[in-house]
Amino acid sequence: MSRIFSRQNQKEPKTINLNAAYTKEFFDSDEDLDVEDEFNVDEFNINESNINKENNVDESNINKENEILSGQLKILQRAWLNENFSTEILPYEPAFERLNEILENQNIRAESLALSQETSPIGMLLFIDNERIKYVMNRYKRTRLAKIEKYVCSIIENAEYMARLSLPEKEFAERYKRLIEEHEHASFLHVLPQESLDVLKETENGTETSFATVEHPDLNQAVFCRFIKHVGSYSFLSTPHDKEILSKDDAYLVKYSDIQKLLEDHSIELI
Amino acid sequence: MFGETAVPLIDTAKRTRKTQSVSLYEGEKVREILDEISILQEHLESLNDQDLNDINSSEYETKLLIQLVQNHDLKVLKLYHSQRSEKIKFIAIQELPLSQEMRLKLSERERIFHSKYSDLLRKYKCEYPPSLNLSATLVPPKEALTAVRVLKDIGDLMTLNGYVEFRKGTQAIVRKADPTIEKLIKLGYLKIVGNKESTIINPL
Repeated sequence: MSRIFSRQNQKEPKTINLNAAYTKEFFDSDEDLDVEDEFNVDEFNINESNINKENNVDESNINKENEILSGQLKILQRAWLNENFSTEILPYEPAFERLNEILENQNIRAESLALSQETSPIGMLLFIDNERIKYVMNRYKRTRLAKIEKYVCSIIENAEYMARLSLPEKEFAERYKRLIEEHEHASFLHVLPQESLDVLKETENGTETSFATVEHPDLNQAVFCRFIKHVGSYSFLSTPHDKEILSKDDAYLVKYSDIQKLLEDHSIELI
Repeated sequence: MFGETAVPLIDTAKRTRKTQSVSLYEGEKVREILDEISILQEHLESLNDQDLNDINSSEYETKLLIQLVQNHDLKVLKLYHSQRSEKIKFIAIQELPLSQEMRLKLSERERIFHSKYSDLLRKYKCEYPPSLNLSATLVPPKEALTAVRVLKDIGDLMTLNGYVEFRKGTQAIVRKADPTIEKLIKLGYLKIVGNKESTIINPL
């Protein structure tokens, strides 16, 4: 008993290694068996409570991570749909990077669960959940890539659009433009005399643009949008005299140029 | 008539717009259009050589018409080539190699484009998160595991589930999102069997 008291009086750290009960010192002691048993039980209780505490900390961490994950996923899903339905390229969503970091942690957890129990339902659910998140991330990137390819010339010519791209996307856009120009030149443009190409440059909308510039984002295209915030009294650009009360969950079919600013403010989502 | 040489190429572009396969490169028709643009350019230059005061209104109209036809011809050429390159890009992004049949259908320049575009994607993928696969099929995932039937002998392969032996005629349960498995399915070595979609019996 004295040992227990002495231990408690010394105020040792709460975490006690279970192996401590089997140290040489313990077995060599001259105490009665009963005392030893009591000591053993007490130590085990301390450990159990500590394990529970650690588990609780782990669980709360996982819960926090899951909350962040679902929040970021929602942001990325919205960004993907906005990107899909808008005609111009939108600013790069940083939620992608954050989601990627969380996903890596979740992947490690799913792998360890799958290794311990091949048919564990939680492990399988985590796997499929990971795959769904990866699907959204992939679709977002592929949508942006397709848009960059489609409007590559107008994006490179416009500094505002270029600022919306991430660094790898910028590099991709520049390389892709070079590749396309090279391909067109080698396929058919090299045969033509320079004069005929110059004539065409002048005739395109009266301004001198390169021949490759054909596709521009059509800002007058009609889009479906839903308000995710209460905006209040607002007049669209094309109808400046008509004021409308715009509240949350209202859905509209409007010109893209009318809601460009609202999309930047994250007041609406495209559907 | 001006611009008629471009019509067959427009028809081909329209006909093959919705198909996934690439049609044979119509080099002859492309050359005909290019010749037309060059001839029109010579004609235009002969008109330009004349004194501006001597040009009457009908000649001015001819000049304008020539420019329009040249513009139209070039746009057709661009459309035709861009439509073909879209299909080539689709093959490249799936990381599929060009089949022998496909190689014969493409022009020399298009084969170079395929390899250069694949290089471009490879460079972009270096910056991509390693846990993601840019070339993954864009179908929403429904299940984590899937049964596959081996159509051609592959041997032992390291998958996400560990080493799996793929012998012709056998079946294996694998992770659907495994990039190795996805690639083998695309290349025709494996075939998905027994997933829910294929086992649903049509009640009608």
